[in-house]
Amino acid sequence: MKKYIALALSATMLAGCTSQKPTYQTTVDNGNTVVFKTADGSITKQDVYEELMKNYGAQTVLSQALKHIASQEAIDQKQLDQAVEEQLNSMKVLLGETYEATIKENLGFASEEEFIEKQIMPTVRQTLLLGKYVDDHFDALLTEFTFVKLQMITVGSEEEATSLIAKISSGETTFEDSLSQSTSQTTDLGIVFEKAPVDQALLDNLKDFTVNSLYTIPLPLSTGSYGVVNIVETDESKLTDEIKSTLKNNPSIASKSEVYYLHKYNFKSLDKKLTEDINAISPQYLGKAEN
Amino acid sequence: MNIKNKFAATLAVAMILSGCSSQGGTNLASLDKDITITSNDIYDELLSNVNGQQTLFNYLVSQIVTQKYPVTKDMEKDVKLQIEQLQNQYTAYYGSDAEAQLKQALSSSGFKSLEDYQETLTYSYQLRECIGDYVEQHADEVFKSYFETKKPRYVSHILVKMTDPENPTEEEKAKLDEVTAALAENKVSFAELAKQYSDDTSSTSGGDLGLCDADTQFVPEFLDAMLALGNGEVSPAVKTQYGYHFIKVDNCDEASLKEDAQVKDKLIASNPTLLYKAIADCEITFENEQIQKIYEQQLAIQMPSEEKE
Repeated sequence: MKKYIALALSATMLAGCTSQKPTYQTTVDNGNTVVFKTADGSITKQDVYEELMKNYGAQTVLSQALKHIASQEAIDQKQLDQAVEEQLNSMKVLLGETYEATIKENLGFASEEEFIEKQIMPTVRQTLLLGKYVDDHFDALLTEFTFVKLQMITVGSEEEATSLIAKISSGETTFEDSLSQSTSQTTDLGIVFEKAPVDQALLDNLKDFTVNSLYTIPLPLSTGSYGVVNIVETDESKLTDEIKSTLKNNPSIASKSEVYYLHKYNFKSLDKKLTEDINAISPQYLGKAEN
Repeated sequence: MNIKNKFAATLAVAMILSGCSSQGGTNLASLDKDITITSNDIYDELLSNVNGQQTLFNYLVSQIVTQKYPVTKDMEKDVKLQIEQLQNQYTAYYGSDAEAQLKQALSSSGFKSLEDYQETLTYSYQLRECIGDYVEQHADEVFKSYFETKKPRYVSHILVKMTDPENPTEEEKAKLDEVTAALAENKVSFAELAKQYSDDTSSTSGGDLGLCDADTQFVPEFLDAMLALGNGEVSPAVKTQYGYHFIKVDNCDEASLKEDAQVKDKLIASNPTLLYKAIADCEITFENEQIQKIYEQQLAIQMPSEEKE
């Protein structure tokens, strides 16, 4: 038997390796037209369409649907203009003298106007759509989640954590002083809620953080270290702006917002395979909405 | 219902199911107020963005390769054997949990199933065949470039290990002198001396380090000395963090290495642009300007212009 040595193949090389299975019910115009020929076979426009669909179809359909929804929902021109200006300014600061060359040569836009229309505006509209969702559903989100403002000092052992808690509790030092003096890892966690990207131990104890004070139990973290937690504020009414800002930057809330609007606009897939692909990303997009 | 009505009803259902659209293409998805997203919309959108363009390019490459180099019985046998070996290894290690563990390992490597992995493995053989063919046909040019830049060679060495090479002990110095003298005397082969003296694990195989080139992961002092040697030459003692090495180039003769399968495999692995050179060499015809433009742009990204054939 002839021996082969399999190559260490790059992801790029392998990305095109797929079996030929009839999949999508939908067809593209002039699908039977041959677009490409090799000495041994040919490829039609429909073949290309199905390959594109298989790789990025579901997320592109979702993105197109959300783009349309955002154009219907995020319509406050003043807000849009301001957000576009902010985005452009931050890009100009970041790119400096290379700004124009970047949008034309690297990103392939003919002008700044085209760049704004095709790149900046859709992104800004999505951001505003998420903002609108948070503003419109703020009370429901306050009911659904627990929000607390926390700080934490991370130390290496339980003994170290216990000792620090004792020193702060006895008045020998303060949490603030310990924060500034500590050589251990210290973190201002800001607003923490059930979907925050923080250590699971914090989320598991979220309901116990009820009083604005030092949490007197060392928190065993998933990393093996221990956390000394300072509960800065539990009164959600004093944290409105910070909570809104946190929610508007949280990926789980972004997904929740997408599900909400797709349901509101009665989003439907009309292709069985596309339905499967969308469900593989999240069954909620086409399923029953949570709220 | 009469036959005519039955036909009309069937046609209506068929039209709904196929998502007929007046916007061109067929309807893929819909929103309220008769907003539809059609197959044409998504086709155009994807061909205008980087993700879609890369997908198209990879697809065309895979089609060129798989059409020109169909799966052979030998490939099937080898792939089957590799899959069986993989399954056996997992069974031996995980017992009854082997299937779940393998599934998890495949998933974390980006494979949806064992079948998916098998397809990818098969494709890797087809790629190997495609690149191998190109290398055969352009052997002089491809090997010349590889020999010049990577300097492949079979190498062996003798290590006199030292705890602190800057301050060797008397015993370490004595061993180094002994090896130096034995090499100078040239009465015993290098391989025999390696077996006798080398403190490296390669001593059992006469100091053999196998096929090496400029990309082999050695400490810089060793690599530089190794690449500077000619065919059959032995280096003077080379100091590294491990002690002192005597390096021998067992073979760096271009003519014989060109016929060596290991060298060919190393050459292929060390040069990712070879695939695209091979593809550029294939006979292909475009009948769609947009697709051709995207293909050529992507090929240019993968293969810098000075390397195009």
